[in-house]
Amino acid sequence: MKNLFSYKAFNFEIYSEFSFRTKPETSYVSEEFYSLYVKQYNEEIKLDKTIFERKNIQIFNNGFTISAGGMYFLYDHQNKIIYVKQNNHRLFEAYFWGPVIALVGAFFNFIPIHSSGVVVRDKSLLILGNSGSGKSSLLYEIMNSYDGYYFSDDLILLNKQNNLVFALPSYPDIKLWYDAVERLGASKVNPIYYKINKYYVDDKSRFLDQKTVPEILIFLHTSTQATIQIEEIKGSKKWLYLQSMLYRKHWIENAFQKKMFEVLSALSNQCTAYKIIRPLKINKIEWDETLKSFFNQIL
Amino acid sequence: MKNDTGIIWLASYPKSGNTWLRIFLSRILYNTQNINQLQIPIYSSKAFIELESEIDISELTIEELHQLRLDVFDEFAKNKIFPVKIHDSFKQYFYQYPFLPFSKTKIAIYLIRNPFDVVISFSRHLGLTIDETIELMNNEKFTMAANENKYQIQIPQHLGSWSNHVKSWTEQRLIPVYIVRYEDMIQNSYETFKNILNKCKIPFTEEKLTDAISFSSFTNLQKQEEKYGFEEKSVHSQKFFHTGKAYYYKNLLNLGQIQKIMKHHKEIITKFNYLPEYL
Repeated sequence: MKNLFSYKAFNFEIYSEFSFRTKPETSYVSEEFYSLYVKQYNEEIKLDKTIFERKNIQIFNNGFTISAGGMYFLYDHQNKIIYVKQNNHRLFEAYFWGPVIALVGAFFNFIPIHSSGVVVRDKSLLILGNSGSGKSSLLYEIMNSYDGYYFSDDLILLNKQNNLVFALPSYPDIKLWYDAVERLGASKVNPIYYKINKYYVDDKSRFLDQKTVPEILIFLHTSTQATIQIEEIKGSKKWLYLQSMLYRKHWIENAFQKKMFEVLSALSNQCTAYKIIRPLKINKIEWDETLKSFFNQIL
Repeated sequence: MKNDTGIIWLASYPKSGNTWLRIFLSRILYNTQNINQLQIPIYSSKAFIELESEIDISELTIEELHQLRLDVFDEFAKNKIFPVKIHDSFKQYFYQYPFLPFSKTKIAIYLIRNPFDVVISFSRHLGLTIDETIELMNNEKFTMAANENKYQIQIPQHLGSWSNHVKSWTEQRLIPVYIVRYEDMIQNSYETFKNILNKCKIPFTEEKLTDAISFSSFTNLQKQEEKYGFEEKSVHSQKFFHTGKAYYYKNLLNLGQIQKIMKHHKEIITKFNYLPEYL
């Protein structure tokens, strides 16, 4: 096979016939990894029994198909090959580095969650939240205030081994919206796309390419209220909050329910959890002081 | 499209009773118990599009997002009645695509409220002065969620001026529209809400209708907000359910402000019987 591009992330070494234009090339190597191949779509591939089906997705017991915006992905788990029919590079990357990789991970028993990850003072923290909740900004703030390292900006795969849940590193990117770049004084490198005011910020040297055992969960919410609120989350509420942060929730809940339950329950038991409610309009001084006092307590 | 499926657009300029109608319909359709659990999304909600499309939407352009939402709303409305809140002014196209999934549209309920009350409520919501809000309601370019320097939880919504917002929905001929006055929802709740359900062909019993009217009554909404808070409350105001009355502007706007509103919106004010009696 002609290897146009190879990339390591989420414990996968990916050999692809398609280039990943917006991902920085990297030679980071995890201590253990599986090989995946990305190839041009082959009409002859057939998958077995359907276990979940929705408009654009079919999950089988040995792979899946996703069709979107004129594109088509087919994953053959037996041969670890992702077949792609592509007509739009931006959509290809948006799907490949999110839904596709998350679902491939699930076939390896890795459960995907919508989270950033940072290690500070040897503690691994997951910052969980929906798009726009401020995960990347908080990650950047913690990393710089406490001399920490990050292992994911947006998507984390969780793997349970010997009763411990590990978070797998993703890829060395932190992306911030322009307002956060300004507020945090980050040095921006390139816009992610010329029509969008979001930027890669230059922190590849702070990328930690190793799996970690998360100890603290931070659920980040935005609110129209004016004050910052922080509270500890315990018991079943912690589990429910975790479940709500599953990445591609419908798919994972339906097709990988047993594994999902096992991994999230173990993670819930091994972590302390907090909810931070962040006002949509941040008062920078109040925000900085509240965070400082909170992280000084928990780290 | 079958009679019992399709999108019901709950369209209005902001602060014109849209939340009230959503709470009423949520109770009728889904037996909602808590005002923070409304199952009626706004058309501009990125979270809804992300949840239903299962793709990362945070780095898509507005045009790409719009293409995606057409698919999402089209699919979601396939087998059910699906009310959707919308504040955009009506247009046929957005970029080069249809603005709404027209083939899945059942009806639009257009809520109108006298602009003198709207201006007071909207100024509280936005944290602006009355005069600034009057200017905004005259502005043909007025667009919400338009700041492109930060992540916006909603797709930008072009509203334009208050008058043209009303005209855009009530004078278009592409989809059926039923016009409801906020003041009639207050003064004649039973008949007004009953007519809305009939127009939407939503089945109901008398018992269900009175229950939903009582659940969405202003007194109950204020109680619920006091007890649980309301997630849609603006950062600028103390509470969302503030006054809930008709024609309360008379003690709050001065003559100059009333005249300024009249100057820009006289045609629509007259058409919908909102002329102040002393002018």
